[in-house]
Amino acid sequence: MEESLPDLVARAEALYRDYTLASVRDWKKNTGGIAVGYLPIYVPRELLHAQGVLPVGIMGGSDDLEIIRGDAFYQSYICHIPRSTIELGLNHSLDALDGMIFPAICDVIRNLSGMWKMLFPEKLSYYLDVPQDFDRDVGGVFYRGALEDLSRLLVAHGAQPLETERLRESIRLYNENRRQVRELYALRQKEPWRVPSHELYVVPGRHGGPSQLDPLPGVLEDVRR
Amino acid sequence: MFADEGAVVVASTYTKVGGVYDTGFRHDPSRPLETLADYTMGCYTNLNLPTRVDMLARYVRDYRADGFLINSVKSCNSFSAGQLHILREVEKRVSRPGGFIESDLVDPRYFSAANIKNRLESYFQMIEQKRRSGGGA
Repeated sequence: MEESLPDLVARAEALYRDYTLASVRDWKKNTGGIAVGYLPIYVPRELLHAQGVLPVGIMGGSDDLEIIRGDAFYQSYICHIPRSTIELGLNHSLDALDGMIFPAICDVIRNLSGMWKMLFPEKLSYYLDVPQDFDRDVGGVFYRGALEDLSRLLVAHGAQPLETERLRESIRLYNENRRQVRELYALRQKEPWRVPSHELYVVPGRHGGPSQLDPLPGVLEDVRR
Repeated sequence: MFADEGAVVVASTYTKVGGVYDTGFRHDPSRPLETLADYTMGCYTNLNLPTRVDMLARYVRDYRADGFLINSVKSCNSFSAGQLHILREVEKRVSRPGGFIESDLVDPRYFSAANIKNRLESYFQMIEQKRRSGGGA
């Protein structure tokens, strides 16, 4: 039976608020797979998905998370995302994760990857640098090398080996997911009252729980109604 | 401020943000631009944090330093983010006290000579006490 929009929003909200990642633990128990967290953005979730890894978006803590130990790691001017992520790591909220990926979003997150290596040496900690040159022979080669490096590390931490056909299928699924998210944004531009900001941010980010990848199941249809 | 307290700087990492020679890198005159690029790519701020900790600990040991001082630079997160963690890790490795001051390269509003002097004086006093009690180099 298709989930109603209010139920879906409520489920996404509950997932968003669950810092201890209970759904990730359930997924690991049911599948035997590994789960890897990632900070925003530019993370190749398709690669993780194709190798049977659960990608888990970590956006730091909200205002309901008290930062105690995280403050000891950063100067006062550093933003909330890295200090709350450290807090979540040190208070064991992220224990279900087998690793973390830190994309090249800012210098603080870049250095957080090194801190993670020192704090959690047994876990995968990967700094994902992204190419600045879009020439296929330069940036393309560099990025391919980075992805292959990440893929090997995932295997070393218990993921399935990368297979081309599975990667193609994952790319297809994520592209469909992106297409539907764009459609949701287009709908919001046209009729903003149908897609409130809170729902817009919480549903695409957490819809269906991290254990499913069905692209926004029924959301668009429900919103249109 | 160091001279006032009879202290000298024996090594630094900030002078390595252009590149690092002391791990053996040398330019190749037959490939000048390529090796210049190699040099800058290996700069301190391109090292991950565990490697930075290794470098600092090595400097403290090699130069038999009595302590080490970290200057957090607000305008440069690449250099400064994670320094508090680095401080504790290096202290653990070398059993020498670390000091921490905050200032900036370009923004005078974030630089207070009086505050820094105050902190340095306290830090040097602590080092002096440790030396007297046999805890220094």
